[in-house]
Amino acid sequence: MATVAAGAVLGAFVVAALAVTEYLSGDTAEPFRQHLYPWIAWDIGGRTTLIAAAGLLLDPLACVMVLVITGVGFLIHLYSAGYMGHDAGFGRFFTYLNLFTFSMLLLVLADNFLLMFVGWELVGLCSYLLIGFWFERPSAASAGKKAFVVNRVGDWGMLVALFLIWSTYGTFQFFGQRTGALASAGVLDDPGRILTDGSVALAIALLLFVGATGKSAQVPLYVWLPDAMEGPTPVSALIHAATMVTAGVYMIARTHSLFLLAPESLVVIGTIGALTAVFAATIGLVQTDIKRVLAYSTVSQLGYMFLALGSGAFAAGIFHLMTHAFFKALLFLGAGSVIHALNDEQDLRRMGGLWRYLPVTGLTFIIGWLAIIGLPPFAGFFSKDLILAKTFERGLEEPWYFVLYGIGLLTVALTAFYMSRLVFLAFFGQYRGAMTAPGITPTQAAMAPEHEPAAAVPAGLSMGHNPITPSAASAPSAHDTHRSDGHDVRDAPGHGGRTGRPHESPPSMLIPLVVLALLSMVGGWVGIPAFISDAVTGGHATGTPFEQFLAPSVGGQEGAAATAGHALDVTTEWILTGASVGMAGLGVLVAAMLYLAGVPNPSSLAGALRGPYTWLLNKWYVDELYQALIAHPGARLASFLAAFDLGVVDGMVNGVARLARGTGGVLRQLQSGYVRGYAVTMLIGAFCVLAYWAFRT
Amino acid sequence: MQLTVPQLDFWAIAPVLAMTLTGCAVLVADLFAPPRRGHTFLALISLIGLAITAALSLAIWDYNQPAAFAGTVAADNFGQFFNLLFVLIVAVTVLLSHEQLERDEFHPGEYYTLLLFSAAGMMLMAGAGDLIMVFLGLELLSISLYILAGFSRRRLESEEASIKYLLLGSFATGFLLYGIALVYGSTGSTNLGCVAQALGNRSQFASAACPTALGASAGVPAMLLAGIGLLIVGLGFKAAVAPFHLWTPDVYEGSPTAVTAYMSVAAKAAAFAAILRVFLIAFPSLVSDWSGMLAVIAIMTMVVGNTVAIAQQNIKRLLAYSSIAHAGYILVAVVAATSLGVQSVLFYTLAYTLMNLGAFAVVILLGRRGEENVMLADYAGIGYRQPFLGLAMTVFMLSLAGIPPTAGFFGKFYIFSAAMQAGQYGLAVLGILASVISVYYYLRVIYLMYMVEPSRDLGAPAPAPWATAAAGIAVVGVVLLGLFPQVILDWTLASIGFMG
Amino acid sequence: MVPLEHILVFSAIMFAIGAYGVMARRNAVLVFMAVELMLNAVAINLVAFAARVDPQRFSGLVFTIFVITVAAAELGLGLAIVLRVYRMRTSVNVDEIDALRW
Repeated sequence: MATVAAGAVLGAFVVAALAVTEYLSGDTAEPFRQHLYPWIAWDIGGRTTLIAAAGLLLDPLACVMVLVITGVGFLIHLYSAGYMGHDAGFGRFFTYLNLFTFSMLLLVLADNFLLMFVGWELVGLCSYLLIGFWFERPSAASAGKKAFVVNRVGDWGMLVALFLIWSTYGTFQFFGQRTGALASAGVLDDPGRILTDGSVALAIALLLFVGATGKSAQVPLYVWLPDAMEGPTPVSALIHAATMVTAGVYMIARTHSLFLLAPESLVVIGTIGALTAVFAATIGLVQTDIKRVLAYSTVSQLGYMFLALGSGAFAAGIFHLMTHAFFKALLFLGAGSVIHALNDEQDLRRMGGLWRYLPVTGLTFIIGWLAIIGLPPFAGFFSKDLILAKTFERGLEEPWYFVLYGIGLLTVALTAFYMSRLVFLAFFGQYRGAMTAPGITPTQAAMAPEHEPAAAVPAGLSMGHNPITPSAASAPSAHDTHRSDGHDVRDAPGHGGRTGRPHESPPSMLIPLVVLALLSMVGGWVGIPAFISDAVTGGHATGTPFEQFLAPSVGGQEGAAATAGHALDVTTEWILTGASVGMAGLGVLVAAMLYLAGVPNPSSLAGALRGPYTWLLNKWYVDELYQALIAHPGARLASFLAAFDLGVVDGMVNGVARLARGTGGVLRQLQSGYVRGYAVTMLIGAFCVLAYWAFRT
Repeated sequence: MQLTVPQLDFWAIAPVLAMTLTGCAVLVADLFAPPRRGHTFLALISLIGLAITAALSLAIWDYNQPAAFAGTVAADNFGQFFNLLFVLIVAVTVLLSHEQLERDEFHPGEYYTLLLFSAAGMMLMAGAGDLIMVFLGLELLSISLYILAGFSRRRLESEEASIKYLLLGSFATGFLLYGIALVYGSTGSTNLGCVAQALGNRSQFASAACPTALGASAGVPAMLLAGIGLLIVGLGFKAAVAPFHLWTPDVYEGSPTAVTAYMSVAAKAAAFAAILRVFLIAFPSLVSDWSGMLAVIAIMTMVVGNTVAIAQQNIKRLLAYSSIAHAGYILVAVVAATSLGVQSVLFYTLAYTLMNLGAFAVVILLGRRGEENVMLADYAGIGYRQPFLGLAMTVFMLSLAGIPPTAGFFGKFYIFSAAMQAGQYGLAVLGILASVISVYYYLRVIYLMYMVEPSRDLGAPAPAPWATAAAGIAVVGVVLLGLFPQVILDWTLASIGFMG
Repeated sequence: MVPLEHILVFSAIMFAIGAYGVMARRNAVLVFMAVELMLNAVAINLVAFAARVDPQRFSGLVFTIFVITVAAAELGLGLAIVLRVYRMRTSVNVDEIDALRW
């Protein structure tokens, strides 16, 4: 079963690679398009216009996305074969995962908005199904529902944007078709063609961005992503780190010319991106669940991508998307390997010294760590540095971007700190996991009375020294508990599960780690900055090789025009690079002092900073805010309803659902079952219809 | 007074005649039907009759007699489109009722006859050129449905559905009739084309002898507006739009599921066909008067349908509220009142027919004797125990929710596009919002099927090839309509000649 | 000759009485009678319009005959259903028919 599933994705990768090679050997200035048939073509004013074709599109942007999706996707399928091996829902899992890969490919290969939206909705559906994969757990079901409801907000924006695009341009095609019976122009060929009203352009751009914030977990719609960690870890790696959540970034890069029509929208995107980056990073500082740290880190890195888009550096955004796919998939899979090794332990406070038990996982994880914090020559360095440089460059024109640059730089340090904290707590020091008998879940262990009462000590920071201090204040952690009788019972040879000793994962899980580690090391080299390559070759490049490659798709021209005359000189570039590496080094240093050397003692530090610490631990109280704003008035309305259980739904989801249900409950009172009551309502309705005309004139 | 015998053009009403004669044939054949396999025999006769009806409809495609029978019947492509749609609906209903008739021991002869007669009524409504014909078609349809709603005699709920439907339906008929009378009184004619001419529009539907036009300076008399308002009440009742929708959930829940399936699509399609006919042929010049009214009703309908559906525990009731919400979407397109709007009504009616009949087919397939297993909780875990049914239901729910690439998505897409094109931005944005909310309760069904462990064992289902075929047709239709919407859209374009 | 307005007001009052009856009566048979009153009010309207507005043709009169026929059919069916309801519930009070709601 897994062979078929993974084989299909491998096949897709091979085909994609062949297609990309074929395409790149030709003229890349024009996208390659394959139209199957005209999906919708309308007769408008006696002329048949192509609204949307059932057709696919391959251009440099799509090339990058396709290779990332199939390549990383295949590795994760391979990994899942080992990771999910004992799960009862094995077949279902791979069905969903393959469906997801199909949908994601559809999204990036679509040659019009409508087909892209098909993919967009389908990946959402797969994400929903996979988050709730272990549906026996109420928290998983609830997380799925939360993701779903939050994404509805985004989809609403997306749909309204689509209709505005259609009513403005009369087509959904990205690019026009110049030959054949259905000659038409595309939206992106010449986006200003029909737009005379700047407010429409701004509305389209902002509504598309609303769609992107939902899918790509930006402020304020990011709340679903951390909860999405309820899904199996390979799902977190594939959908909630490497591919689906970057769909918003892809969509904006694809339609960037619409955004350039309304430059104000770019400022909004950049600002939201920078805010998301720093905001999620601060929350990541204190999380104790290994997957949650990575989840907030994903939100933060997505913020970087939007910062790049907002700075008009679309290629830089896609570049970071690619490198992030490598190292974040690596980190998630590594975390999965750790979780697997520790029999479903996800709490950082119960780890430590793991590199001794898990050498391969440890080494690859450390590579991922170096990549994400942006140390040269790992992948993250090149992409993050490019983003920061572009933001700074933009700042020369609009000073506001200097502020965003500052935020970005601060986030580099924060990222370095929380990732180093994670690595030091998990892989260095002493192993703190209790060698407990299998069968006691971590939650049960944490609830056991002999442990300290919850929330008394701010636990996260103090980890280096206090073993296990459970904190009820921290979010309900998402544990990967396998559904079957569990691999610790039917133990494979080589697993030390029964003794509770951490055990290294099987080769099918390690091979993807190694490949991704290699990619995280060298994957950034395609984006070697021009000032470095120029220094080596003595040439004069007009951007990184990656930017040049993407230029046909994301418009070198507009981007270049926007910053013409402001190109940074080499000295400034070196200074900027030095600054970001320095900030990363600072973050690592502080983390090393706290968690390796123990100076100053983290728990006393946490005690001293109790206010901010609790604030962060509660994730800025955002869930509570949503609850208070939306849920409570709704809850009062909902008291009309007979009690029935929709499952545990928390936070905003609860609120929205209750509001709608509450309204429904009120309206339901009309449905009394009495015929005479219905007749009265009808008569009142009839009177209103007549009164409408009486009072209108 | 002078009597002239109008020219009798039987081709113009050939499909209706065929449908009616099929009904009579079933009634007669019932006497000779073999006692054991009776309903199979009668179902086959019905299907053959339906095939003939469809063939006749296709034969008079492009026949275009807008004022046959002295203007009472309009045999144009719009009518033929709906004739074919009704044939499809009845055919699928015959398929999906087959097992339920056996299971609940319904008398098949009357059942099929009433089904066919009500379809004849719908065809008259869709092909009406005169308000009298609208009324007669509506009554033929309604009286048949009143009986069908109470068809499972042993169940108290079915009885209740029948009497509630009858009481409120005849109440609504009173309003419709009053409306027709007022329109007649203010324009001097019940012929749709003549009404339009009386209001100063030339119309191809006008019968030969129209009364003279009203004075252009007279303005719109209040009596006419009151009449239009009462027509909205009467037709809105059949289409189940708020606030005239209250009968819908009770009747849909109480009626036998096969009848509910039929009512939910057929009566609604007929009502919207009549609404389009009446408002776009007779009152196009008053569009600014009635479109605002309908827009308010559309918004109310979408809000009521979608929010109350969230709280439902019975799948038939849930689908009833969902059908109310869908009536709201269709009304959005009616408000647009452009040719694209009418096209999207036709497209949506077809899409809605397929997905709703499909969903009810699944309900029937999972149901047991005496309307059991219709609570949402009974759907827990269906996705694993009955994978094909689960998959089919998933397709229908996604389509009803408007998730691409299904028929439902394109239906909504065309409707909201039409609204935007007509400048109804607010209505379109609200409609999109409503459909976004609706996803919640449709996905709840999918969620139950795939993500909840079953609470009790439903037992093995009896083999039901007929109903399975109905569900299969619906699945294929929903998917094909999503993949090739253009085919149907071209067809709808050919059907709206009356828009000029 | 009676002015048209008088007939219209008369039939409107009759329609309103019928509508009131539908809402006020609990006995299903009486509710049906109230509906009949509404339909007959409309029939009076139609006849009046046929005579005053459209004297050359028969539309209104023909329509009236249809209305009477259809009303008879509806009432016949209504009584049959009421009988069955009575057999099952031994009551024809419409307020007691409320098993289906919400």
